[in-house]
Amino acid sequence: MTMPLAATSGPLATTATWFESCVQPAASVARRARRRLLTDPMVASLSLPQSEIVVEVSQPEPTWLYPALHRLQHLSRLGDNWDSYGGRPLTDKAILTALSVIARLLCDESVPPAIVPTSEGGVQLEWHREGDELEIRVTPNGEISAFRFDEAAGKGTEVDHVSLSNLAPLVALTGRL
Amino acid sequence: MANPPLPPGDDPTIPDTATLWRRIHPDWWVFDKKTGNRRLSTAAFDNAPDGSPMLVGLADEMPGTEALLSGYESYGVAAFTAGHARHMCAQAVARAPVPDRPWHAHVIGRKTGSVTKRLRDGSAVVVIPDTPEVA
Repeated sequence: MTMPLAATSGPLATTATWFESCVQPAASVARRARRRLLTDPMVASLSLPQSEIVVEVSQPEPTWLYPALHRLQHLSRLGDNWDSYGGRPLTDKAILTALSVIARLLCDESVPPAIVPTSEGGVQLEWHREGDELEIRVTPNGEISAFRFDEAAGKGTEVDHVSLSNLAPLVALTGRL
Repeated sequence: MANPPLPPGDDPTIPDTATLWRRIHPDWWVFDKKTGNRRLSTAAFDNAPDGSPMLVGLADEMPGTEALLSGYESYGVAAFTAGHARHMCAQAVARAPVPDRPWHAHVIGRKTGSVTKRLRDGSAVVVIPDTPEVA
């Protein structure tokens, strides 16, 4: 079964169309057998330890798509104690949530974030631009928080307990990326 | 303005001038597309996933960075002072020796986004990690 990963409408939504199959074991994900047409959406997948994420995206693909998928695939392979301080492997939930956040906040030509693992098994997305720093942190269970620092104002702002079902507090902090 | 109170557990025998070393995994060594350089991620400055405080080494009591990197040759090392942790980040610093590693210490306190940023901003990279396999 597939379900929308990000809406195609809304001021901050990407124009791409996304789908996921996040709850099925990788082996059970149905493969397309029919012949592909040039007008078909592009399909990319991310093989995670417990599941497989399948992304369908209309062409042209967002510039950040493949770097993000490549990086998340790499990070998904980090094992126990990867950071030498007891770090835990990244959870599928954290990776899927991070990808969903990227898809919902970024435009097709947006600058992709640096994608960094956290010791607890989550994902951190980072943007640094002219004294402005934005970090979005996804916990292993998919909870989202963010920190934005405005160097000109000398002030940092944090939001916690954001969920994918309501990204409004995050959007209010981040604006258009 | 007075310094904020420290969390319990601070060890006054560790002077503010003491240098603390933190091992840096290559995936915390982030490529900055704007500058073309790499920088430390704030994710490198967090408590352990089991809830125990962030682990560091007391540089003055170690034979060198090699002791910190033994078995972790692709990792880097970041350095900051105990005074920075205390007075800029409101963290306590305390010894946490273990067998063969008497120089282990803890940086104690909640690691919010602003705290990890200050720890990162106050750190110098003394050993550069290997470039991550996938940036």
